[in-house]
Amino acid sequence: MTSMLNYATPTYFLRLARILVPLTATLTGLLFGVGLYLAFFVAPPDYQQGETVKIMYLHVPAAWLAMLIYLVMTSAALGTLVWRHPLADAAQKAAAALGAGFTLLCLGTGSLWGKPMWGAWWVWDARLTSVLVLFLIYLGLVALWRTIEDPGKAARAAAIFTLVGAVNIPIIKFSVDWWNTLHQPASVFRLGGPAIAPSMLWPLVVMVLAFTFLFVTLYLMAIRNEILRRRLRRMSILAASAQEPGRSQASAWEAAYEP
Amino acid sequence: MSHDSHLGFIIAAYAFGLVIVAGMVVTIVADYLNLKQALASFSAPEIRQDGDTQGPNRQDSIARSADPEGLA
Repeated sequence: MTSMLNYATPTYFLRLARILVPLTATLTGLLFGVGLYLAFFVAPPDYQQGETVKIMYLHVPAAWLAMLIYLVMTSAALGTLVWRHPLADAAQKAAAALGAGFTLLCLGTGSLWGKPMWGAWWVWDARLTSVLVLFLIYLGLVALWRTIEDPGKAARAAAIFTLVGAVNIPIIKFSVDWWNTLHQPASVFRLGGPAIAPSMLWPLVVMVLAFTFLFVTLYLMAIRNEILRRRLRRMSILAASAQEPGRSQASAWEAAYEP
Repeated sequence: MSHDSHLGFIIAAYAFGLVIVAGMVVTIVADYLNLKQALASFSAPEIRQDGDTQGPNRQDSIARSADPEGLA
């Protein structure tokens, strides 16, 4: 773990991101090309839902990412609180907005799938409501980061908020088992294996991979932005302090590194 | 598929997906370009592009900081 943390420095990360982002972006493009082709031209229509099942190839990957990103954020929150690693702060902040985006996509596509299948845009069942709560948690975290000016204090507050909010993840996952919901039970990630026909499962797997690589690409880019933003902040403080009359460069350094 | 009565919902879902994904990509790329531009404006001789400086008490300051990379 210690050796891993030694590599997790912002400078090393920026170097790594420069190499990885073009690779993951290319892979994302390829996977989306294959996935969309399979979804629209190979996968058969559902015997009950007809072609409306095509929305699944967008909705399920978005739902998967909505929860995966929260787990990534929870790990980063532990990194902030336990190891106090500065890169964990950046990783946590960068994930919140992406999580909100993919959760909104999940809710939106779910609504557009629900109307023709259930006859309602929205129902207050346990699955839909818990995902809405997840979306509100993401928005709360984004707001928290923007409200607290000091990055160190914001990181600790967001980390505690993230850990408290993590209780919602098992609720989302098991809501369809614990309560009677209009939303169908799990058909892919379940103990007995996928309950979905292979002709529909494989396009779905490719789309899930495409979305996962999309997230990895955007996440690397967003963390890189956070590192640059903090460097900009530090340099702005240094420049402002250096311009104050009677202030030495050493004291300007101290001001820039104030926790 | 063109005869599917729910085609509008499918198109709307994929259009919504495109808007969300494109929005995230554009936001992140625009943010990156703005940050790079702002960092480039700090091109004073004593401050290098990577945010490191040649200050006299640099090692002391870094040693005192819990954030040696200057991330926080």
